Amino acid sequence: MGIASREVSGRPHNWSLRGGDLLQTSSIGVLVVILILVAILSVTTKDFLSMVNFRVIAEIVSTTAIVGMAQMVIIGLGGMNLSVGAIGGLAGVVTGGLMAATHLPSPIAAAGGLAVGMLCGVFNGLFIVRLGISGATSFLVTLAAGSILTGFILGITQSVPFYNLPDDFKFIGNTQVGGIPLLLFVMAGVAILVNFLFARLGLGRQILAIGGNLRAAELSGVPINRVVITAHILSGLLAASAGILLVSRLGSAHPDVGKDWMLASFAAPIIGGTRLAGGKVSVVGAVLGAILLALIADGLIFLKIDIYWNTLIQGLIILGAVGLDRLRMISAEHLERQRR
Amino acid sequence: MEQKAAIRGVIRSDVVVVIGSVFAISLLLSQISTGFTSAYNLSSLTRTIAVTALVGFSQLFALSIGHFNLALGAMGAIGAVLAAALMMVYNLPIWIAIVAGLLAGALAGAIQGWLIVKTGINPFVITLSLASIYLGGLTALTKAKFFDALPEAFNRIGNTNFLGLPVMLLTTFIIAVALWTLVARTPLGRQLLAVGANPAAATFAGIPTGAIIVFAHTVSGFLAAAAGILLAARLNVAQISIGTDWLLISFAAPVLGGTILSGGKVSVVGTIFGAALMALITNMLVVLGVNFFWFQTFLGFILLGAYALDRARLSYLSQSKA
Repeated sequence: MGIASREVSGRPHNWSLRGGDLLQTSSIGVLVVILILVAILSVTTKDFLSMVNFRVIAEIVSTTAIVGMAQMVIIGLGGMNLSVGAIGGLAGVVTGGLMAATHLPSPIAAAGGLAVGMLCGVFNGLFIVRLGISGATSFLVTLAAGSILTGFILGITQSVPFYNLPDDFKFIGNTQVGGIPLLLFVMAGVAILVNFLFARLGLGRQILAIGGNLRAAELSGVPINRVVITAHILSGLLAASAGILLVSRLGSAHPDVGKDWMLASFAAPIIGGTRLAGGKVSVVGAVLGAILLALIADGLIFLKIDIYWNTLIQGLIILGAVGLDRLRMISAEHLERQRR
Repeated sequence: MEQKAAIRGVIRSDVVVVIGSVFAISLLLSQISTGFTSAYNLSSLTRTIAVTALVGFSQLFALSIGHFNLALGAMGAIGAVLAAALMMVYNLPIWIAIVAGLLAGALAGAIQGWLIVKTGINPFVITLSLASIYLGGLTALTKAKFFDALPEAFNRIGNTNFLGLPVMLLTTFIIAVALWTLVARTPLGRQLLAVGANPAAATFAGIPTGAIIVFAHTVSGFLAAAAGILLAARLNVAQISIGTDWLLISFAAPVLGGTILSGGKVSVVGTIFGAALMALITNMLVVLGVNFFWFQTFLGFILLGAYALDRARLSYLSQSKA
């Protein structure tokens, strides 16, 4: 026990996010790329620097960043969640359905959607704990869960969106405060909470401890099963909020919500320096990653480049970001060896 | 010796379970549904099995070395769309177009394996990124066009019988025999499984691990392209979305057939029966009048159940070894 806990605490960089260094080296890199992109786009195109375009980007960033955080929590745990899109879609559809079909007040409907998201997290977490915690298990269980939930989405909606959503619900996704979309404030609030979780709370540290070294975390007394299930509930909650916010912005609960989230859910945190093997996350990085993704999609439209290229570019960016991280790790190891 | 016999017994028994389920469901369906044994239903069923099994084989080769291939749907689309474009737009002979499509799939797989070996980046991220790079590139190059004016001779591959069996199914059988021989009867197959079971140990034993990884992904890409081309021949159209729904079935077929996900044990025969079991269950849902929208839910539960069995089998195997 003593030896094991020393083993963990002997490598603090492996499992703790230091609250102070919000802007880590990788985040600064992403920030520089974002600034360069903004500079290029504002010089080369006419309407890029307009209030309307800012609003469009901000709205997209808001949901993408929360989706990225939903994935980031599980990546930090050393797993992956392939069902974030299906959870978000189901939560959106349930919320929309409750309002359109049963005329429940929108806060209660939204609470229902969030509860569904948390239930999905319980399902994922329980099966993963039961079948043996590993990357492969979380992959397979959440792949299956994604398919199960997609069936629910189609079965509930019969593939027809819920249109008649009350105005007070659509308000959240379509209001500006001082020219800034309300959604952006909501996302910032969520980001602050998630950052607080990882920087200050025991649960956050335990998630990263499991992701950094499962065996060591177990030996040092981390309640593995409880933390894994809680992390999945949190991931489900975040995915559900993203889905509900998106439905609020779109004004209808479309069964396609969440269908194309998978790539972005990994891209945003990974670009921002979250380590895929687990044990290291960056909330600011995930938000910056979401901004970069939205800027690129937006920039392609302004540069009149076929939007079809967007998917390819997203893939290249993930590879580039992970490749850079890998290079950084190799050179760090190299330096370490020289020092010895 | 006794342990070996015990392990062999378990390995044999999981194929027996899946084969048993296939026959049980077939028997049940032939009793409760008059349409099940109709020539139309049987030929449609066997064609679905042919494609599903190939998709399963494609994942099987990634699984054999302990990797996942998330890009197999994109590789299938590359093979199908390239072959279709060559025969439809450039009027090349069908067999040349097919070979080109297969080679393109193999090349896409080879690039994937090469990147994994050379960069040392997590294979999951590589295949996830390549899935969008391949599919995005293909979409941009073809402008998401449908290739639906395919030569009649090509479409015939998808709807002709030979010796009473669909040509598609026979093609899959021939490929299956080749794969089984490769895995079970050649040194290369043993090296694949050795890398899958323990890459570090395989390297120490003098196995060229890097080359084996590239080889496995190349075969995986080739098989995905074969599945895409066969499906295009059946549907008489090739489009970029041809492999969109393959990810789940690609895992379900081998896992149902007794392949262990962590690498080191694969079953070619089991994968065929795993594919058959899934096609039969889908068929059963149709017969029972279940709304099509819920099929995905059933498929998800099948995968979950199969994986739970896989885990149980693994712990049983490790117990019988101890």
